[in-house]
Amino acid sequence: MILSLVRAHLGNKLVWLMIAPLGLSSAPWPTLGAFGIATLAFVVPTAIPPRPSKFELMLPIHLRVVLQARLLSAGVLFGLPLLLWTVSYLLQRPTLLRLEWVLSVAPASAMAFMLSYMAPGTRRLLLRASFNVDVALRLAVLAAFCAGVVYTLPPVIAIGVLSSAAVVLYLALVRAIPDSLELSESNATAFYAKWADRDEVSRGSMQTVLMHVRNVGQRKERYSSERNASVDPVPVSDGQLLWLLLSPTWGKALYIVVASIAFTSTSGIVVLMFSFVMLQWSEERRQRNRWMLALPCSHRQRLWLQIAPSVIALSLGMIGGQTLKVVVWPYNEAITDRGQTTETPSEWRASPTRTSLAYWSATEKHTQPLIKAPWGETVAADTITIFSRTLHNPYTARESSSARFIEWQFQRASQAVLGQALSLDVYKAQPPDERPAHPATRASVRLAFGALIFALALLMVWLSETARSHRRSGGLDELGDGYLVLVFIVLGPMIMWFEIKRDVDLMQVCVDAILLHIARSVSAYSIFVPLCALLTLIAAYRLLEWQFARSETPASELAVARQAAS
Amino acid sequence: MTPLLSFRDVKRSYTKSVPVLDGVSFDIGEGEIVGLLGRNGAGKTTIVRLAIGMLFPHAGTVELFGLAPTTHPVEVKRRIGYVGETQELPGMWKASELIALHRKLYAEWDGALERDLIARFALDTGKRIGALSKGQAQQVALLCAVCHKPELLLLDEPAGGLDPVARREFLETTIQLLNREGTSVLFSSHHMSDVERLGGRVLLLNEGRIQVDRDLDALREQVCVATLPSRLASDHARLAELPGCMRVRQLLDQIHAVFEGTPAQVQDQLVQAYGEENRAHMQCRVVPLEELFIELLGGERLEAAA
Repeated sequence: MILSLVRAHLGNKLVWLMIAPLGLSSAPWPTLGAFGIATLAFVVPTAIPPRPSKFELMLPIHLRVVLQARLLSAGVLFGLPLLLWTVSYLLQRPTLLRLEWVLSVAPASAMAFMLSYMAPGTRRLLLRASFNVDVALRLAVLAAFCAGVVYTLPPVIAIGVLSSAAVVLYLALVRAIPDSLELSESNATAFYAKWADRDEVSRGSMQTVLMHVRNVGQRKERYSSERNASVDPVPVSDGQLLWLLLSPTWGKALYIVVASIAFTSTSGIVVLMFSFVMLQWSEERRQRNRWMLALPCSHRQRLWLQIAPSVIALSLGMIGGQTLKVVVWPYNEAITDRGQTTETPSEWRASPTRTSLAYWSATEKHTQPLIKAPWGETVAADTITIFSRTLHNPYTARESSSARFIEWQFQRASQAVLGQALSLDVYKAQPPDERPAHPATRASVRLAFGALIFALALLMVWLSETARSHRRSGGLDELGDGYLVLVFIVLGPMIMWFEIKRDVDLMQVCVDAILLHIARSVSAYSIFVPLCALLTLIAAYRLLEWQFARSETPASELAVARQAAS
Repeated sequence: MTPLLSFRDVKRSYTKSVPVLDGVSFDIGEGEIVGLLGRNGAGKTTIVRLAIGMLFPHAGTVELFGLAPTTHPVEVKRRIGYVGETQELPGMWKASELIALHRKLYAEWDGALERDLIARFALDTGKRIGALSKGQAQQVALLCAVCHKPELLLLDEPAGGLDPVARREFLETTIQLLNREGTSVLFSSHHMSDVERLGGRVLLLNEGRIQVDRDLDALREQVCVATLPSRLASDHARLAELPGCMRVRQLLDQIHAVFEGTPAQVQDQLVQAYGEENRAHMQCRVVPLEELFIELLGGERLEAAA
């Protein structure tokens, strides 16, 4: 019976087999782990809904069986891929085998999906908990993990705590589920009295209304394949409609905010996770907002209303993430903290003059240039080959190099990166920020980067969609966020591959390269970067709007039609 | 004798202070067919879900076979069948696999009835549920709900997605066949024709309470609608206070009143109240169930508009 239910759960959830290990594999790193696990806490209930289906409720089986089946499904979904991921990771990079990494993943992942079944989640198996309580709990989970409490503990204690917690939670959950609802009946009544499951009636009636409107909309869609698909545009309050648009999916918008905070970390794993969260939100929004087809507003207006929630949620998340980053880790981008390797990783890791790839120079393929100091000392430069291009670090210094050589190279590197030649001792005493306006500029670049990706997605819409398809569907299915997801899905694994295979943070390199370019050409304080991004975004939007407008009835034809009608 | 299904002063709300059910009480005995009627949001689905144990009552008690469905879910579910408007069957399963699962779960599974229904519904059991049409999926759900010959069949708009042929097959043949073997049926529906076809007893829900609970035949014969000119009965309260008056509403320049009793009895009663000289202006008649339903539940807006 359990296996049958597991099969029913997993039937159409195979996509999560891809997402789960990505989220879970972020567990070993404190920051990413927190975000990864927190995101999973949001994602898991979607993959394995905590609420039993009517089908399950009607079977003459104990609720305990339903719970066990769900936990087993979660285990298959998240445990199996995680195991494969861990094995493949370790096979690829056995040198990075660390006991705490391997051991912390399992309890952390167990914790992730256990958390999603806690308190209201568990109750959901028995009754319908308030969404507000659910969100509050998940935010608390997020906060707890962000605090990094578990990760600050010594590894052995952390592993012990997490493993015990996972085992205890599992046992407690399975045992807590009674064969009947008797034990929690009084709690349930009290719970309802206090929280009164507001969503059911309001959502029910709302759905009835929307269903009606949607039907009207679908009829309109079916019969309006001609040029005048758009009804006569009338003034509609954007604010009101935006609220209407957001209200059915505000919970998911919160996911986007959280995910985009994580996105600012530039990790490939997070980018990919973000894309799936985005995909989920996009899909849900599309489904729930089909009723808009029936609204008497123009396609252009609808385009803005459709895109605005994404823009708002993304912006909030990115600004929040960037602020968090600037406040919490203001100096973590210093010269020697770059995370990339070369073809000689062990020696390179000891080098104090490793800079971002953005500061490296191109060289002939598979050659290792010699760097010569004025006094004749030489060293073979570190090299790396990416996309068939070989780069070398002109500031390479090795442990075997003389102190004078290392100091010379470090001064050159700090001049290039920080804009001032510093001695190694001064730098070690107090590492300065890269540039005076570093956080603001870096934030601008990141935001610009996000804006450019969004613009790219909008442009893809413009390039791929014809006015005819807009007329057919009212433009609702051709929104940028679908393509945005596509961009992220392509970017994510690529970034991840570089992280794992070459230990290169590709997005970081891109940001550094842009920063370097800006530093060489414009003032660090310039608003040039965000302005450029904004202009690009506006241009892309205007193009898309123009594309949408082509599907509308021109004002001249509309006037003629009105005259004829009157 | 213990009723199969018993509701006692059941209250349930989804929003604070807005009860969907506000003290609902009724019993269903062996072999009864009960139609649950009411407007959208009247609480029909809530009653069915409470009966299954999917929801807790906030007050009162719900019992099936003398057991609370929330405390003895497995025992109760083994003896009932349920089909909802949206059943949410696992889409990746083949219909045959789903039927096989149910066959395993219910000891009293009737293989002959299963084969009969598969043939009658012309079901392709090799197809995945997700690939079936809404109506076909509903037929699979119906089959799974009835082949173990439940003692009580709970149906929440069960024939919503069925075509007229399948609908009639299901209502007239399947349910009546089961009923002949002693299965009780509680079904909610908006289709008066379904209720009339199945006969039995009617529960009419209105404003969280049961407004009408009587046999369909009695409802047809002993409830009638009186029509009076509004000048005659401008005082609605006086009309509503007459014995047997169930509902008064204004419809443009006429007053419609639903009364218990035969048309002749009600006519006499009205003549007594408003005078012999107005007899010609009063009409009392037995109306079809659908019209009666509208008379009992509809019309507030028309009244306000008038």
